[in-house]
Amino acid sequence: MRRYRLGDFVPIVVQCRDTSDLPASPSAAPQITVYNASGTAVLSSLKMPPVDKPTRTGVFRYELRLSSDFSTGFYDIYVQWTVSGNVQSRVEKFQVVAGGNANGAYIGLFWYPRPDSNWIIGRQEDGQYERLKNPRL
Amino acid sequence: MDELGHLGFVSAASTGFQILVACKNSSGTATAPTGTPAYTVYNSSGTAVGTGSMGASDHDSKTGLRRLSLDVSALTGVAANETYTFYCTYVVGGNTRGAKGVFQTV
Repeated sequence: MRRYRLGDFVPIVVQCRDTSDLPASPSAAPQITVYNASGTAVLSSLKMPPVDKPTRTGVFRYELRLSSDFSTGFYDIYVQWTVSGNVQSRVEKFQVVAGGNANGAYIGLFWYPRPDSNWIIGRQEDGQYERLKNPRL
Repeated sequence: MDELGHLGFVSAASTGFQILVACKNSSGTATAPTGTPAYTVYNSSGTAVGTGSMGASDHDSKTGLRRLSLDVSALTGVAANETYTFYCTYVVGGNTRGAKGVFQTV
Protein backbone atom coordinates (compact mmCIF):
# COMPACT_ATOMS: atom_id res chain seq x y z
CA MET A 1 0.00 0.00 0.00
CA ARG A 2 1.43 3.30 -1.07
CA ARG A 3 0.86 6.74 0.39
CA TYR A 4 0.65 9.98 -1.55
CA ARG A 5 -0.34 13.60 -1.14
CA LEU A 6 -2.58 15.61 -3.42
CA GLY A 7 -0.74 16.68 -6.55
CA ASP A 8 1.43 13.55 -6.54
CA PHE A 9 1.45 11.08 -9.38
CA VAL A 10 0.52 7.46 -8.68
CA PRO A 11 2.40 5.15 -11.06
CA ILE A 12 0.29 2.19 -12.13
CA VAL A 13 2.12 -0.56 -13.98
CA VAL A 14 0.64 -3.72 -15.43
CA GLN A 15 2.33 -6.72 -17.02
CA CYS A 16 -0.36 -8.42 -19.08
CA ARG A 17 -0.05 -12.19 -19.24
CA ASP A 18 -1.85 -15.02 -20.94
CA THR A 19 -3.43 -17.96 -19.17
CA SER A 20 -0.03 -19.67 -19.12
CA ASP A 21 1.31 -16.72 -17.15
CA LEU A 22 3.52 -15.61 -20.04
CA PRO A 23 3.77 -11.95 -21.09
CA ALA A 24 1.18 -11.27 -23.78
CA SER A 25 -0.30 -8.33 -25.62
CA PRO A 26 -3.90 -7.61 -24.67
CA SER A 27 -6.56 -7.08 -27.31
CA ALA A 28 -6.92 -3.46 -26.20
CA ALA A 29 -5.32 -1.10 -23.73
CA PRO A 30 -5.93 -2.09 -20.08
CA GLN A 31 -8.50 0.11 -18.40
CA ILE A 32 -8.34 1.55 -14.91
CA THR A 33 -11.18 2.22 -12.50
CA VAL A 34 -10.45 3.99 -9.22
CA TYR A 35 -12.83 3.46 -6.30
CA ASN A 36 -13.04 5.57 -3.17
CA ALA A 37 -13.47 4.10 0.30
CA SER A 38 -17.21 3.81 -0.23
CA GLY A 39 -16.78 1.72 -3.35
CA THR A 40 -17.89 4.52 -5.66
CA ALA A 41 -15.96 4.88 -8.91
CA VAL A 42 -14.08 8.19 -8.81
CA LEU A 43 -12.49 7.67 -12.21
CA SER A 44 -13.22 4.99 -14.78
CA SER A 45 -12.26 3.77 -18.24
CA LEU A 46 -8.76 5.28 -18.06
CA LYS A 47 -6.77 3.65 -20.84
CA MET A 48 -3.17 2.75 -20.10
CA PRO A 49 -0.45 3.47 -22.68
CA PRO A 50 2.15 0.80 -23.52
CA VAL A 51 5.73 1.00 -22.32
CA ASP A 52 8.54 0.29 -24.78
CA LYS A 53 6.19 -1.68 -26.99
CA PRO A 54 8.84 -3.11 -29.38
CA THR A 55 10.77 -4.86 -26.62
CA ARG A 56 8.39 -5.17 -23.64
CA THR A 57 5.42 -7.33 -24.45
CA GLY A 58 2.28 -6.42 -22.56
CA VAL A 59 3.74 -3.77 -20.26
CA PHE A 60 1.55 -0.73 -19.63
CA ARG A 61 2.04 2.26 -17.34
CA TYR A 62 -0.24 5.10 -16.31
CA GLU A 63 0.60 8.09 -14.15
CA LEU A 64 -2.49 8.93 -12.16
CA ARG A 65 -2.36 12.53 -10.96
CA LEU A 66 -4.09 13.16 -7.67
CA SER A 67 -6.24 16.12 -8.62
CA SER A 68 -9.17 17.72 -6.85
CA ASP A 69 -11.14 14.54 -7.61
CA PHE A 70 -9.33 13.07 -4.59
CA SER A 71 -9.21 13.81 -0.88
CA THR A 72 -7.55 12.17 2.11
CA GLY A 73 -8.49 8.53 2.48
CA PHE A 74 -8.13 5.11 0.93
CA TYR A 75 -8.61 4.33 -2.75
CA ASP A 76 -8.59 1.08 -4.71
CA ILE A 77 -7.28 0.75 -8.24
CA TYR A 78 -8.91 -1.88 -10.42
CA VAL A 79 -7.18 -2.69 -13.72
CA GLN A 80 -8.80 -4.92 -16.31
CA TRP A 81 -7.51 -6.22 -19.63
CA THR A 82 -8.31 -9.00 -22.07
CA VAL A 83 -5.86 -11.51 -23.56
CA SER A 84 -7.17 -14.01 -26.13
CA GLY A 85 -10.71 -13.44 -24.95
CA ASN A 86 -9.89 -13.98 -21.26
CA VAL A 87 -10.66 -11.04 -19.01
CA GLN A 88 -7.99 -10.53 -16.38
CA SER A 89 -7.80 -8.05 -13.57
CA ARG A 90 -5.81 -6.75 -10.66
CA VAL A 91 -6.57 -4.71 -7.56
CA GLU A 92 -4.26 -2.52 -5.53
CA LYS A 93 -4.77 0.06 -2.84
CA PHE A 94 -3.28 3.45 -2.09
CA GLN A 95 -3.88 6.15 0.48
CA VAL A 96 -4.01 9.90 0.11
CA VAL A 97 -2.61 11.55 3.23
CA ALA A 98 -2.89 15.16 4.31
CA GLY A 99 -0.80 17.79 2.58
CA GLY A 100 0.11 18.54 -0.98
CA ASN A 101 -1.80 20.62 -3.48
CA ALA A 102 -4.40 19.31 -5.89
CA ASN A 103 -3.03 21.62 -8.59
CA GLY A 104 0.37 19.96 -8.39
CA ALA A 105 3.82 21.50 -8.26
CA TYR A 106 5.03 24.49 -10.22
CA ILE A 107 6.52 23.58 -13.58
CA GLY A 108 7.41 27.14 -14.51
CA LEU A 109 7.86 30.48 -12.72
CA PHE A 110 8.24 33.96 -14.15
CA TRP A 111 9.43 36.98 -12.16
CA TYR A 112 7.40 39.99 -13.30
CA PRO A 113 8.41 43.31 -11.67
CA ARG A 114 5.97 46.17 -12.22
CA PRO A 115 5.85 49.73 -10.78
CA ASP A 116 2.91 48.89 -8.53
CA SER A 117 4.09 45.51 -7.26
CA ASN A 118 6.34 42.61 -7.91
CA TRP A 119 4.67 39.50 -9.21
CA ILE A 120 5.45 35.86 -9.74
CA ILE A 121 3.47 34.07 -12.38
CA GLY A 122 3.57 30.33 -11.95
CA ARG A 123 2.27 27.49 -14.01
CA GLN A 124 1.18 24.35 -12.18
CA GLU A 125 1.12 20.73 -13.25
CA ASP A 126 -2.60 20.79 -13.93
CA GLY A 127 -2.07 23.59 -16.45
CA GLN A 128 -3.42 26.38 -14.27
CA TYR A 129 -1.58 29.66 -13.77
CA GLU A 130 -1.18 31.27 -10.38
CA ARG A 131 -0.34 34.93 -9.72
CA LEU A 132 1.49 35.82 -6.51
CA LYS A 133 1.81 39.48 -5.50
CA ASN A 134 4.85 40.85 -3.66
CA PRO A 135 6.27 37.48 -2.64
CA ARG A 136 8.65 37.41 0.32
CA LEU A 137 11.49 35.04 0.94
CA MET B 1 -3.27 -17.78 -3.54
CA ASP B 2 -3.48 -14.15 -4.56
CA GLU B 3 -1.41 -11.64 -2.67
CA LEU B 4 -3.25 -8.45 -1.82
CA GLY B 5 -0.12 -7.09 -0.18
CA HIS B 6 -0.21 -4.40 2.47
CA LEU B 7 -3.71 -3.04 2.65
CA GLY B 8 -2.90 0.02 4.71
CA PHE B 9 -2.76 1.68 8.09
CA VAL B 10 -6.31 1.91 9.31
CA SER B 11 -7.85 3.34 12.46
CA ALA B 12 -8.77 0.69 15.02
CA ALA B 13 -12.07 2.57 15.31
CA SER B 14 -12.83 2.29 11.61
CA THR B 15 -16.21 0.79 10.81
CA GLY B 16 -15.84 0.67 7.05
CA PHE B 17 -12.45 -0.36 5.74
CA GLN B 18 -12.88 -1.34 2.12
CA ILE B 19 -11.19 -4.46 0.77
CA LEU B 20 -11.61 -5.52 -2.86
CA VAL B 21 -10.77 -8.99 -4.11
CA ALA B 22 -10.56 -9.86 -7.81
CA CYS B 23 -11.67 -13.51 -7.97
CA LYS B 24 -9.98 -15.62 -10.66
CA ASN B 25 -9.96 -19.14 -11.95
CA SER B 26 -6.84 -21.31 -12.10
CA SER B 27 -5.83 -19.64 -15.39
CA GLY B 28 -6.01 -16.17 -13.92
CA THR B 29 -9.19 -15.26 -15.77
CA ALA B 30 -11.58 -13.02 -13.86
CA THR B 31 -14.42 -15.27 -12.81
CA ALA B 32 -17.41 -14.84 -10.55
CA PRO B 33 -17.12 -17.32 -7.68
CA THR B 34 -19.69 -19.92 -6.76
CA GLY B 35 -21.45 -18.76 -3.63
CA THR B 36 -20.15 -15.98 -1.48
CA PRO B 37 -16.47 -15.51 -0.62
CA ALA B 38 -15.75 -15.97 3.07
CA TYR B 39 -13.09 -14.16 5.03
CA THR B 40 -11.25 -14.53 8.31
CA VAL B 41 -9.12 -11.91 10.02
CA TYR B 42 -6.23 -13.11 12.18
CA ASN B 43 -4.29 -11.13 14.75
CA SER B 44 -0.51 -11.28 15.06
CA SER B 45 -0.81 -14.37 17.26
CA GLY B 46 -2.66 -16.23 14.53
CA THR B 47 -5.95 -16.15 16.39
CA ALA B 48 -9.09 -15.57 14.35
CA VAL B 49 -10.62 -12.30 15.52
CA GLY B 50 -13.29 -11.85 12.88
CA THR B 51 -15.11 -13.78 10.19
CA GLY B 52 -17.78 -13.02 7.64
CA SER B 53 -18.72 -12.90 3.99
CA MET B 54 -17.81 -10.58 1.21
CA GLY B 55 -20.21 -9.18 -1.35
CA ALA B 56 -22.54 -11.76 -2.88
CA SER B 57 -22.46 -10.14 -6.30
CA ASP B 58 -19.90 -8.50 -8.55
CA HIS B 59 -19.07 -4.95 -7.55
CA ASP B 60 -19.67 -2.29 -10.19
CA SER B 61 -20.48 -5.02 -12.75
CA LYS B 62 -16.82 -6.06 -12.83
CA THR B 63 -16.66 -9.83 -13.26
CA GLY B 64 -15.35 -11.50 -10.11
CA LEU B 65 -14.75 -8.28 -8.20
CA ARG B 66 -16.06 -8.68 -4.67
CA ARG B 67 -16.17 -5.94 -2.07
CA LEU B 68 -16.07 -5.96 1.70
CA SER B 69 -16.55 -3.05 4.06
CA LEU B 70 -14.75 -4.40 7.13
CA ASP B 71 -15.80 -3.20 10.56
CA VAL B 72 -12.35 -3.07 12.12
CA SER B 73 -13.72 -1.82 15.44
CA ALA B 74 -15.75 -5.02 15.79
CA LEU B 75 -12.75 -7.36 15.60
CA THR B 76 -12.23 -9.23 18.84
CA GLY B 77 -9.72 -7.44 21.06
CA VAL B 78 -8.87 -4.89 18.40
CA ALA B 79 -6.19 -2.41 19.42
CA ALA B 80 -3.97 0.18 17.80
CA ASN B 81 -0.48 -0.68 16.56
CA GLU B 82 -1.37 -4.26 15.75
CA THR B 83 -0.88 -6.22 12.53
CA TYR B 84 -3.78 -8.22 11.16
CA THR B 85 -3.96 -10.70 8.32
CA PHE B 86 -6.98 -10.77 6.06
CA TYR B 87 -7.62 -14.13 4.44
CA CYS B 88 -10.41 -14.75 1.96
CA THR B 89 -11.50 -17.96 0.24
CA TYR B 90 -13.83 -18.47 -2.69
CA VAL B 91 -14.79 -21.31 -5.00
CA VAL B 92 -14.31 -21.16 -8.77
CA GLY B 93 -14.88 -24.20 -10.98
CA GLY B 94 -15.07 -26.43 -7.93
CA ASN B 95 -11.65 -25.32 -6.71
CA THR B 96 -11.20 -23.34 -3.55
CA ARG B 97 -8.92 -20.38 -4.05
CA GLY B 98 -7.63 -17.80 -1.64
CA ALA B 99 -6.40 -14.24 -1.29
CA LYS B 100 -4.58 -12.70 1.61
CA GLY B 101 -3.35 -9.32 2.70
CA VAL B 102 -2.13 -7.50 5.77
CA PHE B 103 -3.26 -4.30 7.43
CA GLN B 104 -2.12 -2.44 10.49
CA THR B 105 -4.16 -0.50 12.98
CA VAL B 106 -3.26 2.95 14.20
